[in-house]
Amino acid sequence: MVFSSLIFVFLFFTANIITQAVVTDMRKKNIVMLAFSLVFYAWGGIQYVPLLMGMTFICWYSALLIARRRSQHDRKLALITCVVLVLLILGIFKYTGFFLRNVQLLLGFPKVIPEIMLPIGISFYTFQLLSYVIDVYRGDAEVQEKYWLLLLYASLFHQCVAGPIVRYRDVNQDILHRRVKMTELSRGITRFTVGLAKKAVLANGCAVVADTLLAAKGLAEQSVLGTWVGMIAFTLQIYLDFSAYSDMAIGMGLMCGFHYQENFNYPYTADSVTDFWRRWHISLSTFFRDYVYIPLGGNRCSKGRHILNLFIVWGLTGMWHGPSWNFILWGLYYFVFLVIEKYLVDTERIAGPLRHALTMLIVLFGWVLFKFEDTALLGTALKGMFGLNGNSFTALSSRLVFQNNMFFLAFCVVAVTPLGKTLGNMLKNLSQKSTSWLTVYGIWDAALPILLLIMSSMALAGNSYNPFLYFQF
Amino acid sequence: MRPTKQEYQRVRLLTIHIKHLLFLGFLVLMCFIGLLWFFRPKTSVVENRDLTEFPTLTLQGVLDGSFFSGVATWYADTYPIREGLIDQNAKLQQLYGIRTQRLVTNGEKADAIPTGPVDLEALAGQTTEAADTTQSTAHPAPSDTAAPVSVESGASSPVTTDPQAPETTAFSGHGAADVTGELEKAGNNIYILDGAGYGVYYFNEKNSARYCLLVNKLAKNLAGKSQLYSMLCPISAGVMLSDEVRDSTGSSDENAAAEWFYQNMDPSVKTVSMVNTLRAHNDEYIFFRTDHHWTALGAYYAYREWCKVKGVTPHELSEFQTYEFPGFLGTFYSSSNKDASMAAKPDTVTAYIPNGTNQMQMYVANKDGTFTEYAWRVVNDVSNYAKTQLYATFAGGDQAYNYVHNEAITDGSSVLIVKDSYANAFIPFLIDHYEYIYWIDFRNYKKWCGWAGIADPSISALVERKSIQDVILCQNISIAGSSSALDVMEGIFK
Repeated sequence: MVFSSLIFVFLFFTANIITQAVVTDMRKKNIVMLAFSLVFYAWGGIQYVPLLMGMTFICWYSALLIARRRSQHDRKLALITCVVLVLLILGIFKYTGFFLRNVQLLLGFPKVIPEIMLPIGISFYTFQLLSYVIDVYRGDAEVQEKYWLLLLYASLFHQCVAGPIVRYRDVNQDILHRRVKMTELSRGITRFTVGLAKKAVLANGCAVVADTLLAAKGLAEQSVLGTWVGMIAFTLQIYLDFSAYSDMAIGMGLMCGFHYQENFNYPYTADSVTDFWRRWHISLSTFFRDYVYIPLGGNRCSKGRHILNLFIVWGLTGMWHGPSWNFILWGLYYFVFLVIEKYLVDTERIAGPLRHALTMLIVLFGWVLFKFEDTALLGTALKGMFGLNGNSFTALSSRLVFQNNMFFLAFCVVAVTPLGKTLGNMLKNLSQKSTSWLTVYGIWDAALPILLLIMSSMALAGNSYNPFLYFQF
Repeated sequence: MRPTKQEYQRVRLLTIHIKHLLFLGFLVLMCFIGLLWFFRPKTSVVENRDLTEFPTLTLQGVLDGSFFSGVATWYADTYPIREGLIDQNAKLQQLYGIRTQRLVTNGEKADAIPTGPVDLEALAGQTTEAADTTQSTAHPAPSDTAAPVSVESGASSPVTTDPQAPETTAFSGHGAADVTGELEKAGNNIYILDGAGYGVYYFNEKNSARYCLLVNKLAKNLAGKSQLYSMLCPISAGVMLSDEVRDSTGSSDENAAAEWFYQNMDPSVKTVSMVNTLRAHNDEYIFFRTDHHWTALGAYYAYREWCKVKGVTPHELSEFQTYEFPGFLGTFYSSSNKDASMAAKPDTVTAYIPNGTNQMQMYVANKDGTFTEYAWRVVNDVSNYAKTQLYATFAGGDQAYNYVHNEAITDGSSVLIVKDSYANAFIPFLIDHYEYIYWIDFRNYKKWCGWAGIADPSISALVERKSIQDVILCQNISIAGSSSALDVMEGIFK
């Protein structure tokens, strides 16, 4: 089930918040939440539920062993066994096809490559479960004795299939003793509806523009302007789409007492690549930082070793996004820029606006790598952006797509900046200074979620077009 | 005035309560509307399609999730107030940019039009053997006696229904149209300028060669039995737009394309060139603005060209009585996601009633695969139909098998029109030239044959059974280049 669908919003989620409000006993509340989460997960195919339950079982049991055994050797053995087992399962489902395709390309065998379906959200919940076991081993998280409560953590529908990657230690207390505060409920409502509208109206609207201009069929004939506008629309889409899911997850969490960390911090305002990765998919970057980069030695080592550590982390980051060379290339592309920023160029010496523009250009070309899994298409797109496909600068079709959506795209550009948030805060501050502003703020605060819900329903009703980019990861 | 801390907190608390109530109230209301299963629509008149049905429960579907995704699609597609929500969304989207000009396409690109005759089989990518095998199936022409139901019975069995009976509106567009909808290629690529849509045509070399091969095969099979005519009807971009604007939309030159088709047809086929004639009249109302079809006036100019080729005198427009149906919002309106500039300037459908007779018989497909015969009107009063369905006034819409016995003529003359929806507006003019007029919609004729127990669905078998003198292929030029349409034609063009 996707969040941005009528059935989710008006049936599943409505039923969920009503039951969460009506059931007061914490144990029952958790049972109900688990039931909802399993239904949500099963919606993508019941066949994957045993996998989720099985992986949770492995991690639950390993963590128990780790917590109960005194011997460091035993604890380490349990941890390593668990990590290897879980990564193996992820690897089998996610990378078998990719691996065999490459072997076939090099050695000519195997003849037949099995088609393995990627279970929904496996990359997200695997990382969540791993963080739990490692945190228990490190003493950073309490062990969860009850299997079903760990299953609730892994399957919690707010974030199970599309992130953010929530650490167990961050939600342990919420699972056991959550309480909904009025102000948090209010914030949650706003956050959820902003996320829903961001996805249903803005991200899907950008997707239409991007897909029209970057369709594989006519890409080689696309004008230079068309390819650029298409890539800009894709750049907007991928952020709006993904951050919308995090907004909805955070909002739904607040509405029933869960507190998830922020996953994005206006990444397109970044003024360096390093800064961009501090702001983009924060829960993934911090996962790699805490569980791979720092254990490898981080930057407290020789320059060569540091570069190697960065290479490993960014190679893995690329791989996590998908079993395809373009994603690995995309990860390593960032590795190159991060090394340049660390060791070769002092970005502080470049003027602010230029620094920002350069960063955005790097990010935009990064998304070109990200978008085209087919290397031939990737080449066509890159050539197209530099006018090397022999097409005119502009053509009626691309000009019209731009003209038909120019105000919309301009709005999306504003929507990826903190301007909306700043205006909201200004209004809030003004409301403390005068009663008339207080009334304005009140009306705005109460009416905004309804307005956004209505707009989202309008967009979703006619929208058979509703992909979620990060589902495949 | 600065609010006190207490006052501030009181107002905020009140606001938050109202906000929670509004939010929850809205969710519960929409949830309730969603539960009103009896209000869920089954069809969309505007989109001219059946809405998604509730999926069948299968173990495989539950395991792989396809059942649940089907439920989600069904829930959204049949949500009771869906159309209203979509309307509002279309209005909102008008603000997305300057939308007086739009190009809605499926990303197709036109091939260059070759000059002169070509090796069709090489171009179509077909081997001679493949062409021969299909031909060999054309031989046996079993008699009608095998038919389990008595159909094709000429004027002998006037069946069912007063044309005005309300239940007949069931096929006023929907139901019947959905059989053919997916093959209605001309509506897919549209250029919109100031509230008027123009069907954009992309010449496809391979498919066009395949069409010529099919026509030539048919011509061979009809040799000595009946005269074959080819009428490739242009779609609007090639007629209504200046060369410059047409080229900028990527649309091919339809005159050059039609002439290429004709040059590659068997010399026995009489071809009707009409693009330049229509272009000469493009300051008149010959194409709809909101629909991909031509108007009856456009079809009339094409009819005059056919008369020239046939060597008969055309009737003047002043000789016909007319119907007028204002407020038409056709296929361009729905495929452009209800373009507001079109809604502001709807079309009027004018229909010319044949003089000899307005009575016809037709077979309408039912959902269960059977057909029902109706007594109908060649030009029907559609003033009660949905505003999106007014083109259905002509020739019964797109039914599989139709015929007219025009008793005003008694020379035994007969014609078969093999058609898509473009021919609908043309057929009423043809009625006054023959005693027996048959027309089949190529898209569902084979299905009808299956139901009627006719083993050989070929055109030549029908021509033989009915001793038909003239066969007119009246199809739009876009459909002649559509591979899915050609796949269907393959089954009967023999």
